[in-house]
Amino acid sequence: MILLESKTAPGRLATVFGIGQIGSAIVRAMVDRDWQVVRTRSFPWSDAAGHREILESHADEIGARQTSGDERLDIVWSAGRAGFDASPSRTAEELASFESVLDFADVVTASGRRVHFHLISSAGGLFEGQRFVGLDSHPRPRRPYGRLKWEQERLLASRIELRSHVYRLSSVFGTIAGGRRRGLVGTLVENSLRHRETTIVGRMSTLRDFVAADDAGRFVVDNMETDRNTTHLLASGRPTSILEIVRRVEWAVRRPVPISCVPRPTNGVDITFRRSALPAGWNPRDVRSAIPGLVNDAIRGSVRNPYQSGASS
Amino acid sequence: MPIASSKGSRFDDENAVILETSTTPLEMPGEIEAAGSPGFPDATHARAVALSTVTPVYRGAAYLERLVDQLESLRERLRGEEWPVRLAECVFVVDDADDNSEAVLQRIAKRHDWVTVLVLSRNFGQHPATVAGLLHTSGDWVATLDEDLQHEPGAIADALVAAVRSSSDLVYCVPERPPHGTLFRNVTSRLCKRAVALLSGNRHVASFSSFRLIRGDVARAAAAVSMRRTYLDVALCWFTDRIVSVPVPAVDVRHTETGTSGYSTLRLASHALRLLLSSQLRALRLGAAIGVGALTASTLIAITVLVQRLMFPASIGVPGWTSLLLAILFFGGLTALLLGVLLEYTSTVLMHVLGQPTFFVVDRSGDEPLRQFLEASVST
Repeated sequence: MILLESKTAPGRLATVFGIGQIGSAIVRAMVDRDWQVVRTRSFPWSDAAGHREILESHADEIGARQTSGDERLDIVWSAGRAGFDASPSRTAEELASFESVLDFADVVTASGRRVHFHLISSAGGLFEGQRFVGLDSHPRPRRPYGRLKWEQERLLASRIELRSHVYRLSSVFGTIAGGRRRGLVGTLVENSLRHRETTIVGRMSTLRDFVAADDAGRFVVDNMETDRNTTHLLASGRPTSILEIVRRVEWAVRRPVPISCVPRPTNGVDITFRRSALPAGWNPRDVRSAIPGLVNDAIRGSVRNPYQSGASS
Repeated sequence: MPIASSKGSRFDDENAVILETSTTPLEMPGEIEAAGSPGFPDATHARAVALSTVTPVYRGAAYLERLVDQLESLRERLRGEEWPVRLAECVFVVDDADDNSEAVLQRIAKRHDWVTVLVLSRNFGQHPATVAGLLHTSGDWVATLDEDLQHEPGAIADALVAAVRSSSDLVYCVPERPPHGTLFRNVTSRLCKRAVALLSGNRHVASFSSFRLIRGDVARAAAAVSMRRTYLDVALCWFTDRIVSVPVPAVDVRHTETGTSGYSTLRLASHALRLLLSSQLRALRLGAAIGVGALTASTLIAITVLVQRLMFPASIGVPGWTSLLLAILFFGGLTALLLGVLLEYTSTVLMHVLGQPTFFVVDRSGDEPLRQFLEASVST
């Protein structure tokens, strides 16, 4: 987890839990907006019992830095250990960690501070199997991962003392040094550059909606200036087939991309979103035009310091 | 939605990208609504077939409101007659329109969330604009139609019936009689298509029309490989050979109301050139055969002339004629052969660059609900 402090508003703090693809994009966007990283601390999944101690220590540090007692703290939960095919036990573990952070937020709120909680949720997990998802669509998770995200949103909504900001992200693309989950686009780019085959379990014509991690990060940070509760669908409204992504990567790397397909009886269902459901001021990049940049980044290995601006994803 | 595998996932291979989904929804607490997205329930319920439309717009301000009204009527008709099909979205692609089409469409989009407006940065042409629109669709079927009411949206239902009954992937809605235009233009258009059909061996060329119904996966795949100069219908033929035509009424409203056509002769010529360049001409492939034939013939003639010169020198009266003829025949034949080989390579590379696929997998099982609906409608 990372503690940041605003340079322009001393005493205003933010804590980001989870420095994966999206978390690091959020931190980069904050650094671009004159936040500085104050402390980096481990918050290991494997040590759930130790979370309480870490959070108590963290609360003390916040108390030491926010001396007037009514400053604002933004908490960002962008952590995620459970993947889309996670088991119920894995998602239960993650939910427990999330609840511990919610409890921490309650403690900070009880001290008089204003706490805004930003939850990175998953549009794909919540609306799996649905197409043309609009403002009037209802989440209907179909697997433990989606249920986890729904439960996280529900728990956050139940903490009425917290200002809640929920971001339902669709499929995210972007490469990151050291990231474990690279997503389809990142995987294809890196594998093709290394002449490795990518195995796709599903259909080449499956439709997904891709957004750049950096675009999502910037939106989250911009939304930190909002005082009221918000829930946003961060998708592009532009469905993209896997075939199209593969083709674009081929053009960008200038060589055939070796892939193998493993068709499943279930097949990959499409998940698409209406543009009318997207928030105002949200202008995500088109994944097609972003792929050449990702290829260049992968070739240069340019993401050296993921918290510095210019380190793209 | 994370779709790349990572360490610890079922696929330990870090190169695997998982797109599959489960089919069993979880029982959720009472907070969750029972229904999915209105009109598009998830796969646990009967899955409605989604229909999308794409309309490139260049000069359609005077017609767009009426067109959207007609599309809305189609939407209501499909719903009212309980078709297992929903008109889910209509994508309009503004191709640097020279009237206020964009403003009209933005107003319309505010009223209907099923209308999507794309604005291209400059004029790219009808086919690229259509490609852009196709790449923004999610429907199981996609209909492309013109902006100027020449193509009646109601005919899309007829095309859908034809597609499902014949298990086709592409239906051309061909006007019962040619839209109003000069005799010269109609004749040259027909002749051009016939010439290309003959030269390319593609029997569907004569049916090519901008009023089409395309299976969604095929449409998006063809659009994904299409480049700037690709003729969209040629690209569609790379992915499917299940193509049928249905006759539809066509009224050139633009010509009736204004006396003009949407396309100038220059634009039509540009279309013809694009069609020619996108098609793999059989004549090019015959180049190598022609070259071999020419070299063989020239060799045989050369041998004949040489034998004649040696055996019957008196029969060749002009000194040096034999040598000259031998040289011309040999190098001419060799040049023809090399040119033929070069044409063959060029044709192959061109088709590869244009995106002609090695194969494409299609799933037609989604036609079944509509097929059953049609059979039930007939029996009642």
